[in-house]
Amino acid sequence: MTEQAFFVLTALVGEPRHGYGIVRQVEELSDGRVRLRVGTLYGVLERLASDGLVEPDREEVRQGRLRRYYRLSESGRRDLEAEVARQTANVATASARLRAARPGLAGA
Amino acid sequence: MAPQEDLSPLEQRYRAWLRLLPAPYREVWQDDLVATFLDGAEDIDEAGLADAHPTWSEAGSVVALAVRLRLGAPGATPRAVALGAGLRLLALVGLLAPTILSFLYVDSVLWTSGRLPGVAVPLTDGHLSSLDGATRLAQEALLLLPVAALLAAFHRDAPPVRRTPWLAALVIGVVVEPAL
Repeated sequence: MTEQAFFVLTALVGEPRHGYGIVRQVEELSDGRVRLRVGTLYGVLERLASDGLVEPDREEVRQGRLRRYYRLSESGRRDLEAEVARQTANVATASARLRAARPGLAGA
Repeated sequence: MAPQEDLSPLEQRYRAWLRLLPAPYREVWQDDLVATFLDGAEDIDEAGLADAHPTWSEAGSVVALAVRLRLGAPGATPRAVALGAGLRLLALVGLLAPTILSFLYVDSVLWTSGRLPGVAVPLTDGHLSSLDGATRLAQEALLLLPVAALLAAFHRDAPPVRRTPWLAALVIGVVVEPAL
């Protein structure tokens, strides 16, 4: 799972969002590190939708413009949980090795 | 969609960039894309909207999406999927040929310099024949074709390449080419 897809799925946890809502939420969740450009967002959304991880929620008209909202599907939630478990295990492994090899402890 | 003349100049400019997207995709997604673009431009005041343009970064993301959709990303038409697969094949075949020639070049250098154990140095090194400038230029230009195909067709959504057939083709090419 790419970092962009990971953050888009995370942004949709608990609340359906429209395109720009996802862009803002991803930027906030990543502390400004991941800034999705609109073309990139829709490429990611299309891929997630075709994999069944994201689905349309509803449409609203605001200022004469159609806004489509997306939500996390059950399958998307399961994939995100699996990715979180994988990344958590990786972090635990790397952290343990870094702690064990902390300078000053070598040979102690 | 509102008539074209009712749209703000900025919205018209966004829609102009979105014309790069394939028509079937545009029909479904265009209004949503435009709404997202304009939501991002909400802090521009009414007067500023007339002069505002999509940023190069926004335009670039639309161009990249258009290339991916035309070369087989999810949401692409069957024709685009086939075109993407064809271009990836061209890229791989186009890179296989010079890779084979590189191996053979190294082999010929080792041979002519007497560094291949158990193999006599050839009497002439003329097989590295000189090509005229135009032919050499044409060959180099041909090399750019697979590189361009490689850059365009191996987009984020392209399926991974199966290594075994290509490694086998490389070995076969290195073995067979000198006999041709």
